[in-house]
Amino acid sequence: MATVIEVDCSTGIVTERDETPDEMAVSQKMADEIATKQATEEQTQATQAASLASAQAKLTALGLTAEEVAAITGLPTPTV
Amino acid sequence: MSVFLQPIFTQTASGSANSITFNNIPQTYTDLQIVISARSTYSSWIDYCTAWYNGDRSSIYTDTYIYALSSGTGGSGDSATTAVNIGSYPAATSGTGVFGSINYYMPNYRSSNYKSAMSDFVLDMASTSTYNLGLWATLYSSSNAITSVTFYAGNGNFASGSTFSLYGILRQGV
Repeated sequence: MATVIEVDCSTGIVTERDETPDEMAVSQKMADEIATKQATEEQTQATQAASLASAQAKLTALGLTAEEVAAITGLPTPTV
Repeated sequence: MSVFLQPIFTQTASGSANSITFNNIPQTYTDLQIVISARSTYSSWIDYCTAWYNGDRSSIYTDTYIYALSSGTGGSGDSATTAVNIGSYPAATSGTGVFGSINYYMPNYRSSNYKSAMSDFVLDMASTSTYNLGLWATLYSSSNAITSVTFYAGNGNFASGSTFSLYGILRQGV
């Protein structure tokens, strides 16, 4: 079970206590939402990276030099 | 322009807490700043720190961000949410002992208008080739003054040694 830390800035008193059942339910809902969002973002990033690598490979296959590919994409010279 | 930066409180996480709340924030400053150094216990390389104000979990928050990863750049946002994202930070499978930095600035936190804030974050990737950094802008669509702020760890807990430092700022001429 996770705890929550509460700081009372007016007194300096710090309380660390177990989550209440309601807080646990909210935490689980938030964690699920964040995990879903994270998975979506990671998939998007992976797709972008794969698309970039594919585009770089195709440009190289067309006869562009590594420096020309880098100039077009604005990214480091590919190693393909 | 700020002419005065007053430390209010610094709290270090124990490793078992998934949220840290600053309550009864003094209403004597113009702006607030929170400097976070954090790592998550989540079994991934990254976790997402969120925040909400005054214990208010109604759907009146908005956020938007841009990021730069070593694999590319991007951005997105959300509206009508119950909390705002303020930054990504390293988790359990990141390099041993590395922490991320989140700098969160909240101007006019006592205002009766909607409150905007912004953060920048940098993950320490313990690397010379990979990186992850970005900027978040957030909005709290409430006319209530901010008297408390809660930071939520995301999928895991805040790892032991994570620190949250709250500062009050007085603007010039105040």
